[in-house]
Amino acid sequence: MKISRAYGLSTAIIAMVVAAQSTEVGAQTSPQPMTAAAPAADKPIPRVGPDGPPAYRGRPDFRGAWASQRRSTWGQAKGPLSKEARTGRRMAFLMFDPENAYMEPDPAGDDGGLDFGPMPGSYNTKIPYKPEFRKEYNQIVADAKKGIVADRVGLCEPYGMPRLMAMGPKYIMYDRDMIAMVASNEMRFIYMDGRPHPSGVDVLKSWEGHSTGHWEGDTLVVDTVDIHRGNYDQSNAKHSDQIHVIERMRLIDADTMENEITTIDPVMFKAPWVVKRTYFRGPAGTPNMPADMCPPDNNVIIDKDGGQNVVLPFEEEKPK
Amino acid sequence: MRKSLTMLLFLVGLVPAFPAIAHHSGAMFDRSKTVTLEGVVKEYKYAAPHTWIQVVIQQDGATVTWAVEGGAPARMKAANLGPDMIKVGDKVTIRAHPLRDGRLGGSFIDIKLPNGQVIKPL
Repeated sequence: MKISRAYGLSTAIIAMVVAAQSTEVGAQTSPQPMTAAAPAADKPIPRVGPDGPPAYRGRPDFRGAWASQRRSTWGQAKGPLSKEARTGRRMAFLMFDPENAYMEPDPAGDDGGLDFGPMPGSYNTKIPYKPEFRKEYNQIVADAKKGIVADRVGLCEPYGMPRLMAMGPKYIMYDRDMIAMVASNEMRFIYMDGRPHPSGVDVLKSWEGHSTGHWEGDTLVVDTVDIHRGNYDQSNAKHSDQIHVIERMRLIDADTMENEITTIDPVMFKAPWVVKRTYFRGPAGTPNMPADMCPPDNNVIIDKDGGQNVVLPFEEEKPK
Repeated sequence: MRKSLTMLLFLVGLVPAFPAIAHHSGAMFDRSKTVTLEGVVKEYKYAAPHTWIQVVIQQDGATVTWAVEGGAPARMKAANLGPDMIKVGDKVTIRAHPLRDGRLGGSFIDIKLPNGQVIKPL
């Protein structure tokens, strides 16, 4: 574990250099502006004032509502989208990183249909698996292309880390010694008081893991360990329970946050995987939190082929 | 540098979009096929994570019920298909991609409402 953590630091530095090249990104005109207000790039980055908790004074203020895309999570969506926007939605929402994704074409021309994610057979192209796990992932993708997708989030398992951050935070709060992030309907706690990760008998794995954070200038650096095994996205790319995740979050303009996520998996990866996600500020104030967890009568099951299927509303028996 | 920046601008341009939560894969639906269901609405379940419309149709001389899975409530509402727009007893025509396994279910494409308006949420 110690070796892999040091390994992560060097990649984080490389990641910083890459991040620095993209500072102008926020200055572009958005094709889907959320409001008619002044462009976010013209607004100063909000900062925590002198009355704020000491851990955050003068630092960028990430507090409030966020979304992984510019519209819809908070009900802002109006009217149809361009084909490019729809394709982007699926890549951004379900694959870990648009630059790391192959999108299987949709015979119906709608990029996968309503809310079902990308077409099965879409996959992460640059995930640095060791050969045996590459082989396993290739088989998962080949099965998906035949209609067999065994992503357990469909069965109401939590997203967990780092998949939660592929979807992005929905709401961020600064408490005195801790940042709380609501993502999906799960909560992350990021301890800002310098405490170490638990060791020995205090280690307790969870879906969100144990996160500590510190500031490097205007960048919030978050280090997360002790995460359950799981998968990165709907393509069912798997990770072990030994992953170490380093995030670097910064505002590229007042309303746009970039998170560069480095995942180190000493069991399954031959190198760290560095991906980048962008989050967009949601409505000001305290909006009603969207509810999207599975209902008690969730109708998704795993069928005899080992893939997801649905029980229809009028069916009492599960499909065989 | 310039090339990579252009590429980043292109990719970031793709990202701003409008998603809802995709709780499960659409792999069980055959998107290369389309069925047209002309009948009467039996139920519009307008609930997270996905809406469901049940429609009773005449098929091969028999009366059967199909269940069509729609988008998340927010998506349907954004397309003006809120719970007030599809009501029990409405005569509608729904197009859907059917389940691969032949059961009477599908994923929603569009709907022709009793007033003749065709709505396709995107």
